[in-house]
Amino acid sequence: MNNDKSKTAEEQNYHKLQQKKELKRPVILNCFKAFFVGGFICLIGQVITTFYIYFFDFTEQTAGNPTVATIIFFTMLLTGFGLYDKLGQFAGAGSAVPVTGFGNAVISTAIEHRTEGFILGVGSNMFKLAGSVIVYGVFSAFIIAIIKTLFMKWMG
Amino acid sequence: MIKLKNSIYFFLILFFLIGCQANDNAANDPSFTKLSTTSHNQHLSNQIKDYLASDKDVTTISAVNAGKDVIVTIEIPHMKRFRLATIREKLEKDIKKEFNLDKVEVSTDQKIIMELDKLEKRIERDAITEDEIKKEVGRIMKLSKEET
Repeated sequence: MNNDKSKTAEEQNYHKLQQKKELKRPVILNCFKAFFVGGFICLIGQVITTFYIYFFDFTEQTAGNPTVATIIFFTMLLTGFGLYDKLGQFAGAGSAVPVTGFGNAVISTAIEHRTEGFILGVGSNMFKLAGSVIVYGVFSAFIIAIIKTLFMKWMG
Repeated sequence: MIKLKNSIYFFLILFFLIGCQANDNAANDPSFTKLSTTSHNQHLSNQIKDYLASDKDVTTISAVNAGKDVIVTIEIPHMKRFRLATIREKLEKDIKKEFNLDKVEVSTDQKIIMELDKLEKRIERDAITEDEIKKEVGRIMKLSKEET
């Protein structure tokens, strides 16, 4: 700690003791959980994509849209039944980074603010968290597109 | 205890990463079937298959033509998929130049590969008329150009 001087000796001792006893965050274990759960969600997504390619007139290019819709639909069900919360607690980023996390963010706020009415409650709070995903997603896509355009111009 | 756990994770990672490298035998020649040309005029697509067969970047080829409109599908070794678009464009240009064609569609899309395989099998069994081939080729070309 950098503000050690403002603390008494007793406080400093306590701080040391506390650091010794404090439970360490299992970062690597969490990474593994996130990796496998996130990977499993993506595996399900791939299965759905393949399903659409084989049984409907979708190409690899176009099968993405119905896949995302299907996955978000199932996330909606899982969120509504309270199962996605448990998955989120277990897997952390593994359940938040795929599109299911986005769906969960939209749907859970919609459920939460339902009592405040449809306009001021659901409508205005639905994109509380998801709004920032959209804003920064669009913004970073814009930046990347500019960089790509410039590179293409320079490199030929 | 921690060492044991760490080593388990270490090996897990190791195996997962090595697993990706397994069956990637790119040295084989590309596989394709030449269509019989007795009832349908598939000379052009057979020639294209022969032309592509020498290419190291390609593992399987199928091609069907309706008159001068040709659809070609290729599969490439998995590790070369990073250059998928480049390879596809290069082959399309090469074929157009070599055979002096205007309407050539080279696709690496799984759906197009499936549809073209079905069409090839139907031509092989002679269960299709010239008109139907034309219609199917048009349909598959349209499908391959679809965008999100």
